[in-house]
Amino acid sequence: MNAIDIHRKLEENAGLLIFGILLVSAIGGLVQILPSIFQETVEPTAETRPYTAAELLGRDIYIREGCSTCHSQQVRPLLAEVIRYEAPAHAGESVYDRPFLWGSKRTGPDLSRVGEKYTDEWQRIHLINPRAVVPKSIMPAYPWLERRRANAGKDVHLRMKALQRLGHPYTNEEIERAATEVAGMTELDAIVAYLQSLKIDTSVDPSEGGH
Amino acid sequence: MPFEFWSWWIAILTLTSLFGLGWVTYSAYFSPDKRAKADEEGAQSDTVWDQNLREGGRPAPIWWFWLLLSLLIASVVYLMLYPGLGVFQGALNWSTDHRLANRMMAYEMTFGPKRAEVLAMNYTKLQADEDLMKIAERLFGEHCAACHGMDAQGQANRFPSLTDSEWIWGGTIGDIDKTIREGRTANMAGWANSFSEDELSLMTDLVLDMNRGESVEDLPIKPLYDAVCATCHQADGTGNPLLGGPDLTNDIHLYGSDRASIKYTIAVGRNGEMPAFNTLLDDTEIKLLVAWITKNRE
Repeated sequence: MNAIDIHRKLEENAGLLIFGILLVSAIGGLVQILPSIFQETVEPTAETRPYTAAELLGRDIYIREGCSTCHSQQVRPLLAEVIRYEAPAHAGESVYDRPFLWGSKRTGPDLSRVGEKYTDEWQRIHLINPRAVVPKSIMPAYPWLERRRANAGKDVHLRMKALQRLGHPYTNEEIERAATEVAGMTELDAIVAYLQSLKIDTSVDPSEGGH
Repeated sequence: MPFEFWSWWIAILTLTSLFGLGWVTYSAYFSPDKRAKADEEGAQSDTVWDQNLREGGRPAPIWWFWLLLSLLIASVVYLMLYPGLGVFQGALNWSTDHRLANRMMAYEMTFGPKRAEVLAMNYTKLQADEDLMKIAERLFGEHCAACHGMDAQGQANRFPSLTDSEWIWGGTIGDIDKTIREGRTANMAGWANSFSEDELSLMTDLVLDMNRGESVEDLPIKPLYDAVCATCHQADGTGNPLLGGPDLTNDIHLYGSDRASIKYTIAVGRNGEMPAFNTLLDDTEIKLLVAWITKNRE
């Protein structure tokens, strides 16, 4: 038996050929994907908590407005990034991100540690018109955020319930009072709350990089 | 499944595929091929497709074999040196964490002494050093300009200028250093609930008069000013940097100099916030910034 003979057999038998192709293309997945499915080892870091109702709404607005097409949320374990953005991203920081928003492109800066870097007021001015505070900014303005209600669909508790089902540790009381918590909030309030929640997890040892 | 199982699973599957590929490569080149032989003899293989298509046997160029072989060897060497086979860390014990830690250390060794040197310099000397001031300017651009503007001129009627003579929280080196480290939150209360509409209006006029440097001693609203405003702004309106009460006797206005803005400030209050930078900046960076800001002002 040699490779040429096997090759000939495969060429002449479509069923065998299909099986062979499936087998070969499965190997990558069997090695890379399968083990990670059976190994739920990613634990939240000490300071990582599920998003509050307001932050969750803000996060959904962040997704809707496509912020992640220009802003990443992962600090890579490279010297220059760590000097600029502090500790590298840790898998445990993203356990309550469904879907995660690591992003793959930086037209604007990384935002995973932007929380509390600026004041709420700065964030509001900047979102309504970035040029008001950063004259050369190319970021689009988002003036409508100020005019729209964050919980207009009255469904924030349903979103939380769905996440609870996926394993986010929301208590039933938290879900019940979610709608009252965000009552009267504009989309701008919600997205600022979300941005301010993106913080450095000081519990993670900076020498321990992302995994 | 236990952790070890998956580690072995990855290692064995990877190595098996590697050896499988090696065997396929070798076998395809060096096994006796009946077709190739038949080809040489001028005969044709017996399989016929589409009535007249026949299989010919042409061996692939031999440099392909060497290429494939060297790639396979490189893979094995890589897997021996670097992490890849399950939990096996590789002979070099390489990891992203180690690499980052090493680079961090090299960075500290290069710049640590320089930072200490800057920290030991006095402000006059710092301000005279053009290179250091350039670094300070870049630091300002990165950390401060988003609010205070690239030239520290202040902007958006919210973020104060650092180039004028008025320092709400004090303009000495010590004051500015403290402001950067600990941040500041303005605590101008709103008086709409305690003042009547008339009082609000009269108080606004008083502030406008003060701004113009006119005497306000005889104004009927002055006793109310003395009672509620003088704690932070002083009886003569010159302000109190210890409490963050700005000077009202000049024409410098953070929130706008028109009547409506001033009335709004009195009625609703202002709670402008300067964030604390003690975790984001180190002592050297703060010192450079203070040096640059106070130089700018002169």
